[in-house]
Amino acid sequence: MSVTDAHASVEALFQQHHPALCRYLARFTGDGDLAADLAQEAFVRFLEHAPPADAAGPWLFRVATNLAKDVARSRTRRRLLVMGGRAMMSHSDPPPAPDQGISRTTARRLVEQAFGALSDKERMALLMREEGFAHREIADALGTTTGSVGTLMARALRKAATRLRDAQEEA
Amino acid sequence: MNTQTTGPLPHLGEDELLRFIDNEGDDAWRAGRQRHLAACQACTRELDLLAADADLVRTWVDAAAFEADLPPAAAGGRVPHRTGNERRRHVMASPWLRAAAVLLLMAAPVVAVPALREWVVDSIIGDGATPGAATLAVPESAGEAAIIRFVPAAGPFIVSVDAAQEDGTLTLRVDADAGQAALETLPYPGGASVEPVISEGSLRLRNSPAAAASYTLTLPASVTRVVVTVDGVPVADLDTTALAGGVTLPLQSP
Repeated sequence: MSVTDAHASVEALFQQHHPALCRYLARFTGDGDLAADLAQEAFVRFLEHAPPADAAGPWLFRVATNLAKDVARSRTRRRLLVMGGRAMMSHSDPPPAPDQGISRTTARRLVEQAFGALSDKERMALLMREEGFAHREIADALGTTTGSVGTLMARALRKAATRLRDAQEEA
Repeated sequence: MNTQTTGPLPHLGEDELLRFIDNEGDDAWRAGRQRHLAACQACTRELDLLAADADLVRTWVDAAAFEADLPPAAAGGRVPHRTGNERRRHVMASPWLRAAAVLLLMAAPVVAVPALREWVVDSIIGDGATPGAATLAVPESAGEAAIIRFVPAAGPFIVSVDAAQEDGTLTLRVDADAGQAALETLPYPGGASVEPVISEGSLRLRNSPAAAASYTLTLPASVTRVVVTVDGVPVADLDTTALAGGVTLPLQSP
């Protein structure tokens, strides 16, 4: 294989995973700029370590999540999804949230509270599920079994949904 | 968790219910669970409750839109939602990807990593010359703050532009390079749209599903901020500095 071919294959993988990884990290960290930096670093590490190609997605998400947690620890504060991010940039009028016309800012606060009650593994699993990963891939990223990750996600969904319903009623 | 049994069949576990909701498992596995659900009201109820919880969480995460804070170059692509059997399937990279990466590193061991890092950065920034990109040009006259030239890929996606200025009525002008038939302006909430001049500082364009025709948005010098979204996903948030400097923005079709 030529270097050109190799470059093309890596680029294809980048285009396949980069948008989802950025979106995942933005949700996980609550910080868009940090998410973009972490995604870039995760891809650089991917190229440096060359993990098995058939595990590229779970590998990238696991490494990126670890990078995010490292940053959180180094800053001696926890801002992971949803734990109180910075003042968010607004794009014109925020779209209404589910029911009641709640603003994006309010929706973020409620989601932060709901996800803040979850463990790192639960947050990671739920957000990877939102990106369309199969249970097996999520299990690979978390280093657990498919059955365990299914149970973990089901319970996390119930927990988060209960908190969101409670918050919605209070709002 | 539903752990009781009904007759000879054990109830489905939480992991099985979620696997069923997420369209996991092969046909035989799903058929077996389908048969159980058809005969078991308790499990059907649990399935409905879990599906409702999953929908609620997804709706709220979407409404929170944390991804809207990504830098424009990192934003792009829609959140894949799973409906029925249309669950997103990840296309695994080719088996020789690992060899490719190693080859790249071996080809130039001293400069490989910095070069790859630079390539990653370049890939994020994008290439305005390719379809699916928007080029923000340096102002061509004193009366214009900037010209955004969209070169979208063919597709029925919708581009929204919100512009702001200090005061007064803001007028935006859009021209399709291949004629107005290449695009369709849509009424914007709170304001009417008239081709090719759109007032109220906002416009929506439905990209032609067939042709990848380019079109040009002209902004007056009074503009202080422009936000561009594609199908609701912000791809650019430009202040006066960015408008004056000229940048290339990714504009991916969903």
